[in-house]
Amino acid sequence: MAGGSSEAGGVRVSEKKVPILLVDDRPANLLSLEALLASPEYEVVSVTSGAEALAQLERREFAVILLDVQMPTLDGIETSLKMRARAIQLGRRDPIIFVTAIDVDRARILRAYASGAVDFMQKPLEPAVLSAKVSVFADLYRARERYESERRAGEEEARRFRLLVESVKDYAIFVLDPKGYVATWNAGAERLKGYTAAEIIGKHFTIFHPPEDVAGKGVRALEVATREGRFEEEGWRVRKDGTRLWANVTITVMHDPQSGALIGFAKVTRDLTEHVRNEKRLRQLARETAALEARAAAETEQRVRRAFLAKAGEALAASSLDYRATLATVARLAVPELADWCTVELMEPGAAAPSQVAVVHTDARKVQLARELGKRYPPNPNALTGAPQVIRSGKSELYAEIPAALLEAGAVDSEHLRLIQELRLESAMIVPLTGRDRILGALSFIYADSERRYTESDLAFAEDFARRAAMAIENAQAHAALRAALEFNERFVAVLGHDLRNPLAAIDMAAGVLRQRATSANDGSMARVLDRVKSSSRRMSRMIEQLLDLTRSRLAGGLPLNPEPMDLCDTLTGIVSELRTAHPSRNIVLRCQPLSGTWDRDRLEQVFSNLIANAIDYGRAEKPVIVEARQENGAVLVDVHNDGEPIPEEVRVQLFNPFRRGSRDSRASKTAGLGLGLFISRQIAEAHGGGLDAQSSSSEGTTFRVTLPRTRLTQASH
Amino acid sequence: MNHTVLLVEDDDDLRESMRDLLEDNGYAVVAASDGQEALDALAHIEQLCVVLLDLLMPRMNGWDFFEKMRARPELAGVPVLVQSSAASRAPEGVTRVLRKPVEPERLLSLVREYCPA
Repeated sequence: MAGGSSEAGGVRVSEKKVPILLVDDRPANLLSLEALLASPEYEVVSVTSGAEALAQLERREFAVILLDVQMPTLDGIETSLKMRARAIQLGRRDPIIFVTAIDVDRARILRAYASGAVDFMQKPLEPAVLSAKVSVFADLYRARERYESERRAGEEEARRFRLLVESVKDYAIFVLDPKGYVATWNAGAERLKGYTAAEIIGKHFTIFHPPEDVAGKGVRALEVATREGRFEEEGWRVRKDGTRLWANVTITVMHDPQSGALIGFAKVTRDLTEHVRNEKRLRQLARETAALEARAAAETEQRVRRAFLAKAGEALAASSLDYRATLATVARLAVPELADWCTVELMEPGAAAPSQVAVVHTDARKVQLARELGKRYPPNPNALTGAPQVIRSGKSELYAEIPAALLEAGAVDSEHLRLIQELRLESAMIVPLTGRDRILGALSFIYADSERRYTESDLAFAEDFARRAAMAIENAQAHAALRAALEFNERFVAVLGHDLRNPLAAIDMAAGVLRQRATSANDGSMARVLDRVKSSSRRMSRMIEQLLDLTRSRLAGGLPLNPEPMDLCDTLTGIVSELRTAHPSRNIVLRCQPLSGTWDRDRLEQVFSNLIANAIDYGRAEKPVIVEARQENGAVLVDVHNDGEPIPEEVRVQLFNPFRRGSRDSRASKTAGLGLGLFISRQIAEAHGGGLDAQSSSSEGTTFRVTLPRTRLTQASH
Repeated sequence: MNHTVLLVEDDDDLRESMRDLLEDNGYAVVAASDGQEALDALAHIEQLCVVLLDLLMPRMNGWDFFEKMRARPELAGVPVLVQSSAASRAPEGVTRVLRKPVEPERLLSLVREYCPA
């Protein structure tokens, strides 16, 4: 309010002339008074009657009114009384100075004062006295004007301020009296709190507090404001309708500027409900965004892992023979997505310490550095942490952050530590390659200098992967063992096929030579001995042949065939004829028409010799063995039938198994062998793309049926 | 020397037993323990009626011997009976392939086909 005084209403008070009203019925008197009061500071208004004076009074306020009390029409006293009454009505006190003739009685003077005069002057007027008195009233007037102007300006400002405050809608701004009762109210307060001014003024402000607020909270807020000048808080407030708003509340103490007395509190309340809701929403949004990002990151991670698993799986499956190379490939696949470093340590059976089969890093120089490090400072196999320990314990190690102390503990000397530190290892996990009954090795995944960290989820993944890798290693080892067995088998075949057969052939040949000489010398006893030698060597020869076939059938590619165009009926006729010679007492019936096809003649001879010989051995002696060959649906069927006891059930289930039990049948002592004949016969039939099956019953006897396609379908059918 | 059998076999026992058998049955036999020896021996045989040839032999194997023998036109008509213990294929063009052990009776009957005693 200060500072606005001189400009209130846009009028400069100093420029305003001081109005003076002269009232006298004689114009001459007025003229002389005007002359006496002639000054630029004054604005002199002269009237000649009381009525005129009253009219002037209606128009404006005068600093002083010089009133001649002896006016003919309206007595000066009367005029004074009227003017005073009117001025009071107008809220003014225009001072009146009576001007009278010299001989005025005392009673009259008192009447004049009583009528409202402030002073009294007698004619003839002393100019100096007149001007001094007028000047006093002019000063008074000016002072009053200034004060009024300032007051009006202050009021205007206060009014505008009040309007401003009242019109603020976003804030509740109101005043509390020193005891906390609401003294003012604004539009914002009405809007925020729901009360009209009439409803709330005079109520205690704690009405706004929710019921759960501790008692005395409001009072304490006022105490804080009083003590510290200001109190601020955010909290729930209650609207008239009972709904809540989250409000920011400021209470500012108000003191009288002069006396310093507490006059109340200004309370500003801001509704933050929406703001809080927005903040909540923002926080929610931030959380959702973070969750989305986390999910995206997790998905990326999953994708990386899946890709790794797929590629690693391929690698593990594809090159299973050299699992060391495979593990190196796997380690390469892990970098850089799953690790900055990946190393593989394997514990070979019987080895004292694990050997490192792979060290991978994107930067080849770093790999070199690590290799040199390993060479200069060989890893301590008894270390309490790291791959050796993981291999010993079978328990994974996870270092989300590799502690500096761990590196220090692992370092042999300061140079070693420096080199290790140069690798900037940050996070690591070491997982065991756990086999069926031993720990095969360990996989180490390391993050270095890339701000990445391993988590439990990474560890679970790595362990899962290591299990698969271990399985692949064991498969590879089993595969290698199998391969070794196969190589052994091949060697075995060579031994059987060549090295063993030569001496056998020599025995047979030598016995043959001696047998001939014994015959020539008519030495029957010698001939019988030599027959046994020859018979035994031939049995052995057959067994070797069967073992060889068995071995061949187990090798990749199966039994080798040399197919050629031939007539099966011819072949059967040859075999039957030989067997008839060997078994003159037996009836062997052969039924066949010419049956041409492309088959391995020697192998089919082997099959049918075996089947027909079996039929002779197992069939009832008085019943014929029937061999019948026919064509059916582009294939050739050959049935070899004998009557007699059916094949016992326990034999039948494994009739075509190699080395089957039951082959040591007493009736077959003559041909007692390895139990491979039927197995090999079936292998031969299958190698031709056909098959061999048996049916046996007491009523029907036993029939072995060979099925042969006319031409071999594919080599793959071996 | 009439109707000589060339016997090429690296197994001494077998080779000598065969020689005994053949000689007992009236055949002239020239024995060699590998392909090279056999090639060298060919120079001294006047009436070669059959070659009994093993395949797996040191120095020069049966396949190489057969190839070199076939390169000589004057030997084109001489039958070659391969005695093999190997599963490997016999050389193309041999007269017969016999699987070891060959029974003495069978061996004699085959030789009899080509060489009148």
